[in-house]
Amino acid sequence: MFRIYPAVDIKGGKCVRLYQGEMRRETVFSSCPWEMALLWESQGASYLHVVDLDGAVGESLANLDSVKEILDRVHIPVQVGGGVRSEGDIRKLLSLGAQRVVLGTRALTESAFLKEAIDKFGSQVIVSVDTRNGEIAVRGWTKKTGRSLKEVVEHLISSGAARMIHTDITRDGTLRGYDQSVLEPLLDKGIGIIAAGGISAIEDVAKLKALTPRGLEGAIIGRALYSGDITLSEVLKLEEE
Amino acid sequence: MIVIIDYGMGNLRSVEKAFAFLGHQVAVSDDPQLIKRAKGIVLPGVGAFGDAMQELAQRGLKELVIEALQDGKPFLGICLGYQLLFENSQESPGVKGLGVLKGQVIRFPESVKVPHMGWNDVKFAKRHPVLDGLAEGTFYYFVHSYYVHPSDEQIVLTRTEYGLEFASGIAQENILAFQFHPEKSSSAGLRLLHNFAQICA
Repeated sequence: MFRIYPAVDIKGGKCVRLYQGEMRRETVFSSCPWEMALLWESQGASYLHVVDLDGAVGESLANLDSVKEILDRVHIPVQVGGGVRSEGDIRKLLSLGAQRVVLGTRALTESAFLKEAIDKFGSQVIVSVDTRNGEIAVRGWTKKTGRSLKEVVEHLISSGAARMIHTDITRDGTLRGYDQSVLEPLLDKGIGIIAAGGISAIEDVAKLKALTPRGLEGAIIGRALYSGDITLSEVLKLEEE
Repeated sequence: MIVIIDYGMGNLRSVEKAFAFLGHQVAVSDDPQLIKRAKGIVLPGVGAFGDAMQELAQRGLKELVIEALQDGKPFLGICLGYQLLFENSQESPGVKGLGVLKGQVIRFPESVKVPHMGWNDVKFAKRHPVLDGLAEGTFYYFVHSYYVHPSDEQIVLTRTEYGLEFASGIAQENILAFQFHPEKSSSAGLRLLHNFAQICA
């Protein structure tokens, strides 16, 4: 199973793409995030990845109205993250119809929270581990944790996580192509990986798909879909059921 | 009008929006008058079997739903709304379901990951207008830990495999019900909802 996740990132109620996660380097692609979400659905997407960027850099969910609109209006499953800092936030998003809730900051800085979330919600939660030059960053990628990818992945696995997201911040939003070497610590560990960060051509996705036997389960594509560097209907041919 | 029964179990808005998106008149309601006048009824639901039955009873909707089912009104059960049609569930021992169909709701075996969550393919046991325009082996989106085992094999409309083969959909006269979420199953799901609306018209 290899799945393509078009990304819809929300900042100030608008659908934007950032450059390397910097909140000030944004490109607005639509003032209506749910329209973008429906557009990806109409082009054949089977799953969406939605991020509340203001939530990610802040304390809690910040663009809940926009997220709710997407969850109400699209007819495909959606995973949602950004600012999920409590069990209440997880429950809130699940009750609004999110199929999967993406955890970051708190799950990576507080072991007990991670363990409890996985025990309670199982595969309805997924942790996003994002690295800049190999270092894990949290809080909308504004803070370093000092933890290594290798250690965190082992921790995730021992906590019972079945899959995770990894974003290469250095490449994210740059259209510089996907750097496969960043995945090395994650492969063949028995944990499913959804990869993100810099994917800018069909070939990037094809290479990721080739890693399916080593744990790759999907790719999140953002800017390249918005810029047209990748056509969704084309890249979806790589999805297999 | 199609009425989605509002009984406080899960987000019903996505089902409502899907029908509206398809251009059908739809309302989310617990108003007995509206439910009685409806051309078709949808019972969705996410949550536990026992909680759902309690909510239906407390809101005075249980009899109303049973009446509609027995009156021959087109009915679509989704996910938990499918399971509730049967007699009981291992999820909530001792709680009686609506019981309009014979059978049990059973927990998936230990050998598979629960919940069964994701896209899975649906095989057709027979043809039915609700499946018009849909191909055998179409993928639909599932989220559930329990599956329905109907006593009467004849009512099985679709089958899906997850550790074992289970009835992912049933059809008996006016009653249609599916374990998967058509409202989250892209164009194939929308087609199924549209077909149901056609049956109601």
